[in-house]
Amino acid sequence: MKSAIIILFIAISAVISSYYFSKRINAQTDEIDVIERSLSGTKTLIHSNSTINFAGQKDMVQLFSIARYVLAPALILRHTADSKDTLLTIQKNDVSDSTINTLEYNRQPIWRTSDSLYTYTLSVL
Amino acid sequence: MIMQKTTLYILLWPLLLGIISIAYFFGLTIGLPFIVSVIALLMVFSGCIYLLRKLPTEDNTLSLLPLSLLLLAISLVGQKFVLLSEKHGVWDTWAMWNMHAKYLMNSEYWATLFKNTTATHTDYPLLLPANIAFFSRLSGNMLITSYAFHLIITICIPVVIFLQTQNKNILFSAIGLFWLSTNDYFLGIAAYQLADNLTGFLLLCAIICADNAGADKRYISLCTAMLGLCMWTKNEGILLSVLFIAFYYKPLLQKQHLKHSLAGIALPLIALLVLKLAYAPSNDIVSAQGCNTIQKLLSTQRYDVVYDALKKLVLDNYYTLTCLIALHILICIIMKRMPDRRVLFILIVSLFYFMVYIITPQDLEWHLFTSLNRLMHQLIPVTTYTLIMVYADTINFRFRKAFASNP
Repeated sequence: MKSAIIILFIAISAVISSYYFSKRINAQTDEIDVIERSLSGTKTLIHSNSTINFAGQKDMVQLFSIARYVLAPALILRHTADSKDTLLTIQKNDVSDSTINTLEYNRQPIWRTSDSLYTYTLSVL
Repeated sequence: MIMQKTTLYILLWPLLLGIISIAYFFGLTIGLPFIVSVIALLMVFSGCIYLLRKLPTEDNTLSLLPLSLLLLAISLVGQKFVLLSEKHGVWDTWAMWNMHAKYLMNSEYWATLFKNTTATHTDYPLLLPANIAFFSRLSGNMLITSYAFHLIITICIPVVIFLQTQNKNILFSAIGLFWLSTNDYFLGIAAYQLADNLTGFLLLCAIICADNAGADKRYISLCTAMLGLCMWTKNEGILLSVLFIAFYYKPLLQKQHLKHSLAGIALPLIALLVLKLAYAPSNDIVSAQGCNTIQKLLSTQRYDVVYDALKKLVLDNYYTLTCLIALHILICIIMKRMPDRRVLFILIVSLFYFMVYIITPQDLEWHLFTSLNRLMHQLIPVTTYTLIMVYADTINFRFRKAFASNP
């Protein structure tokens, strides 16, 4: 009987705690949410088996990781000189990067959007 | 010592998680539909429950006060977890564990996960991501699933420790219960939603089963199953399991116990071998070893850096535990007896973790900064349990001696 009470209480605590956590996070928006919302527009272009190259401004490891997380299970790889796949570029709105601009200039954009933080472009050769 | 009935019920939870992850992983590898994987895991779990039926347990009914304390502690963990958790967890949560889970949720292209080569650690075992994937597919919400999953594990840690130790010394047991359920540092790391908390819980389960091995041989199977699941959770689980087996070689590797040990560890070990040999890339620390390993081992500066970081972490956050371990060793030296086997195990594991940092190919300070607190976190449940048991025994022993010498 006591075993049942303890296990039931653990389950009830987990449910109540999860409810309050859900309530708390629904009112929050962080960088991952912003990027996820913006990249949701690529659903028709990026499929589960797609391979996409990524290019961002210098030291944008976090942005690369977020893009990979929100676009999984598509494969997102860092852009290299010999990459031929579709390219996703993400640039801060207030800082323009000449390397990214050159990359985009040589490609044909197929999708573009921007939000409060970044401008996102999908382009092909 | 006999295991409490409620503890055994709680131990079925990590066992179920292990079976879910293994059934789910094999389901993906052979392309089974999700529903077939669910049926397969229910069958395997039922088989396990059948094999573990009528295990000798104690059913000490808790009086109202200990039960109230326990329920209060559970509720405290539930409340604190809400405040300490972040929406997506910390970097490793979303960039590694939950990202791995996202791949595993896709039954067609899940193996693409292993094509990711930079900063994702796709060599990590799959117990946690497979469970997050499995439950997320059932619930449809990964963030809440991940939160609830880690919360339940975190609640189970102080509960199991309390249930197993309250017969020995209710005061120490209650102190341990409230120390764990109110410690913001411990709960904060648990709320990172990483695999370290789970590894710590599995190690705790293994040591509790090993302590009960004398009561029934099936506890040996349960113990090795927990060790196998440790290996199937994190790479350092392999190190933990090897050291554990070395410390408990008598009950685990005795000729008449060997088949029980193998029965427990077989399934997670097979799953781990399939993952490592067929899918996962090599581990960065292991593959980077070479000529400069000797140089690193001989560099006293590296030892200083690791020692300073470890000392700071332990003294800032686990001062009481450190003092209690030191006191136990001091008592043992004075009384000319061996320290408790569990205490020695914890110290040796810490030493091995220390050596991993010495030979790490990563930037040493960055590696220490990003992972030392999590590695030590893995040892906190076992350390708390061990110290309660050790000091309960020490006090009982002192009292017995005192009464025996004063007729």
